Amino acid sequence: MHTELELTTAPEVPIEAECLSPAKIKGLSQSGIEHLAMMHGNRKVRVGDFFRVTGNGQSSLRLEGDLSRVKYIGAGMKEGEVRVNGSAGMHLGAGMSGGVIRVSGDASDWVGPEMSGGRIEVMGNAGHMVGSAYRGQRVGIMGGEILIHGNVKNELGSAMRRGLIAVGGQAGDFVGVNMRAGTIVVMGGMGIRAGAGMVRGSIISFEPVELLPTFTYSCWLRPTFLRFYLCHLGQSGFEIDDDHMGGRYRRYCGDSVEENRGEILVFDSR
Amino acid sequence: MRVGKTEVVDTFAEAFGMWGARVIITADTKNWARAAAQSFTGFATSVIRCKCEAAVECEISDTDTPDLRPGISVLLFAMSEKDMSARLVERIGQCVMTCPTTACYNGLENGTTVPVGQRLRFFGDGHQIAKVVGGRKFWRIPIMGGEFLVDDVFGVQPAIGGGNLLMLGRSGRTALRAASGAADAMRDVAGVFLPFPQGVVGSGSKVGSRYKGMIASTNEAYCPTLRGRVENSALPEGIAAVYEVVVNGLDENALREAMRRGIQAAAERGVDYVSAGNYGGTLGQYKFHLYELLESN
Amino acid sequence: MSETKTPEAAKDEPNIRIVEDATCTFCGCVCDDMELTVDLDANRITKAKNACVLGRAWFLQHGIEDHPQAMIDGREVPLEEAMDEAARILHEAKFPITYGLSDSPCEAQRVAVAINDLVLGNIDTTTSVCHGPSGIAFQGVGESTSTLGEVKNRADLVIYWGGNPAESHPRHFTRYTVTPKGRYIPNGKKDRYVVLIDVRKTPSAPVADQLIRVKPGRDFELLWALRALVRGRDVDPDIEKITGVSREVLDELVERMKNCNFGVLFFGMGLTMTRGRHFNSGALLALATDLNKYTHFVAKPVRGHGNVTGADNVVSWQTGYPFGVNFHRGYPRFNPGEYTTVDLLARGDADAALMIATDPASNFPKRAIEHLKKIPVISLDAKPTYTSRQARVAFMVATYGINTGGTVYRMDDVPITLRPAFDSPFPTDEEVLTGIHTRLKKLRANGRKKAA
Ligand code: SF4
Repeated sequence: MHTELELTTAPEVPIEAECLSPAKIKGLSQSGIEHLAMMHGNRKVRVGDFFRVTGNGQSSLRLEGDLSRVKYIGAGMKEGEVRVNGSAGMHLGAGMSGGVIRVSGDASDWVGPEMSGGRIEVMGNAGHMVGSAYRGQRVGIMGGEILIHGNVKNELGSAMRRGLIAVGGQAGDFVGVNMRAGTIVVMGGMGIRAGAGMVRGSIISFEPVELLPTFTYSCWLRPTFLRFYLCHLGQSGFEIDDDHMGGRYRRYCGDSVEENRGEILVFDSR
Repeated sequence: MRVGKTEVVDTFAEAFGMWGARVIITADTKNWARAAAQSFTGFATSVIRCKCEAAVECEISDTDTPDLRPGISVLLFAMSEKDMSARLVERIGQCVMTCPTTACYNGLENGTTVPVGQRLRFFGDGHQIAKVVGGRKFWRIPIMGGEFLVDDVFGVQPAIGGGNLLMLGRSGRTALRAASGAADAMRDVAGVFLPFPQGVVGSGSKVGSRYKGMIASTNEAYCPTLRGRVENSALPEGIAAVYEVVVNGLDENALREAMRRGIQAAAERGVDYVSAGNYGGTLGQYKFHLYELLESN
Repeated sequence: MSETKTPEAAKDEPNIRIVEDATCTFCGCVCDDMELTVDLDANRITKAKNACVLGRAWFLQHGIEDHPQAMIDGREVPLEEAMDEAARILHEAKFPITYGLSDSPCEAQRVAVAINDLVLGNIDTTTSVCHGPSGIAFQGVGESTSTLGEVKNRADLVIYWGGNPAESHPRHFTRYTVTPKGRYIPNGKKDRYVVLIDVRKTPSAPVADQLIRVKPGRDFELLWALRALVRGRDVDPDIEKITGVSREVLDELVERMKNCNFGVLFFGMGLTMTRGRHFNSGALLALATDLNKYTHFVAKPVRGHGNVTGADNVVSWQTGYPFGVNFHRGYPRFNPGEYTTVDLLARGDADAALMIATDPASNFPKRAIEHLKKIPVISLDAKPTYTSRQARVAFMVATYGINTGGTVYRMDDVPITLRPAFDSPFPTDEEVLTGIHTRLKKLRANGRKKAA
């Protein structure tokens, strides 16, 4: 059983709806859900003003329609499931610590900011700052998984401390900038300056990467641990071919302006 | 009770509570995985002197291991949780990590865990890397051959050690053929392992000795040469040799099934008697009555 | 500093007035040593002593245009009516934004923040399109800073990165950084070493002792390599191929930086607005911080607009954040990318805009301009602009620094008082904004009464 909310009135300006999360909805009656407060720009509105609600509050939530201007979907969730049939707005899954969010379309900027657990899956593209720290924050995501099947823009996983971020398509510049630890896998190539300022952690690219002058080549290897990750991603719906699973990768360590304990693994097709 | 030509003695095997772990060893090739497993399970026949018991459980194909490489599952038992951690660290550190291309994973999904990679990681001398994927934490330890991978913690669970069958034969050959046939049949059961060479013990022991400091000594009641010399001989006339098959299991059911299959296999090979070792039921927590095993089928 | 006065000597020519210690607001140097000769009959400044070419043009070309004070949809209306309309628009909007502010005195900026606080709006300054990246970097990396006075008195190594002050801030060199003799720099330029790092040879180059040409878009790589070298780490042997600068030049520069007594890194938009943006400024700030292990080193942005630094300061002390601040929830939130004007216009988020002394219709990206055309815009400017011509409500305001007083901040965060030269028939920014603010307060109170 799930609760279904269909966006029937298109917002004029962005909506901020932290209430669209199992934590806030579970146990409420249908009219209880309709009366939950959201922000429409600077006005307080009710969920019922924009959504048609079916069913009472379950721990599984289905959102229908173009929610690309609805921010904070699934914010703070600890368990349960949110499924968005369509696109989602900014701050998807902000601060979540458990549960699963699935988006069939695109997501916007700041997917999973301040996340510490759980999983976000986006079948389409996402924007800038996926799995990143908010500006002025020293540490990004503390755990959990963010899986984007399409492309993402800049600063993927900036300052992340733990967790797994995987991108099936392309990523922009500064992948894993300032990352403290954790793992980023990008399958469709990435922009420049990956790993700038990284302290620890792993960035894996299936495509050639232009590296900063502060990264040093160490060796090529067939990393066993990566097989582990790729199996995991294979089970999560990514297509992983045998070449990438068992193939060789060039290992670079850096960033030497920091502790030089991070690594970038670049698939070597030879 | 007779099964074919074999007389199954109305007795029971007495077994003890232990702690068990399942260790999955993978390597680039099956041979390297085997080499590591062989080394890992060496000198691990009996807790009495080896501090733990271990043997291969089965081989795993490269479609079923955590890293999709050829692998081997090994079971290791010891007397306490604390021992488990120590033994796993020693053996994985000395026998698996040292073996080229290997990685070592926990094979028991279990509530109770003991630190393993957590302690082995210090070999990395500060260069080790922790990774967490799908809730599983493991360590990457840089080594001369590349990288060694090991799970942070291993699951351990209460297990049973000391399940046994005794094969009594009028000829040594018959007894041994029955014992090793039984061992082969028992080994096929998932969750059990046979810690002795090829699964067979040629020198079964009893607890204690007339000498101070000996924890165990020869089991004179089953020594053919002592029939007539000792008063408590358990051997009928004409028995030339007794071989024991010792089996440990992660749970009672697996152990039962293994012993049942062992008796069957021994009977198929026409051994004269199948019996079992016990201490009068005073020492172990578990009793496996041979008749019950056969009847349960 | 002395007060504005009408000197005795000028009395026989009663229509001439001399303003001493006036302030030029044309660029972020905010030179406060101008001596202006004003022809009060013609409402013109005839001489601007001490001003540079840009400053001279700023003062001498300034006149009072014949233009309505206020217009609605291009039609002249009384000021009051325009303020009513502006207040109504802001009051009714669900996502009102305010942008600009860098060419207004602090007093007006303060009212703009108050308006946004009241209407639960979104306030942003031109910082978000020039040194916003530096603002983000200050937060992330911290800033090791000083005033220009300290630079003048102490700096023996001056590095300009991605800036061309000879053309953009002509008196930067002569007032503060290169030629002036300072307390510990008794021989002026002879005691300083000046390095220019840029992608091309600019008119600033002759001033420098050394020009380092970096490949376009490679500033970050160069900065990163310098950071590594300062820390005693190695860098990619192909560094020259990557950045266009040889390892020898880098090593020499690193030695020079480590061994100076007081070093300063000035950086301009050539660094902040190229690929990498806030990371470029962040890298430079981090380099300055790293160097403090060896010597005293500071980093300063060279700011463009007259009072953009004031905008940062005012918005910061009022809201806690320098730009891109949102009040929708009744308290300030900061998130560049989300609450910065270009981004939110491009996404089509805002439904009304208050544009203060800025012309986004001429310099924003196309998507942002398109959305701006769809929503009611209120503009305040001292001259007609693309934005004011398209605005629903347009106010013509007096020019700050020439016609109005107030306070502006120099690029090194030093506040400076303005001394106006002559009066203007136009209201000040502050007057218009205060008028709107007062009306908004009434509207809010009425709204509450109605609701109650
Ligand atoms: S340097 Fe700038 S502030 Fe100084 S006179 Fe020139 S334009 Fe005006």
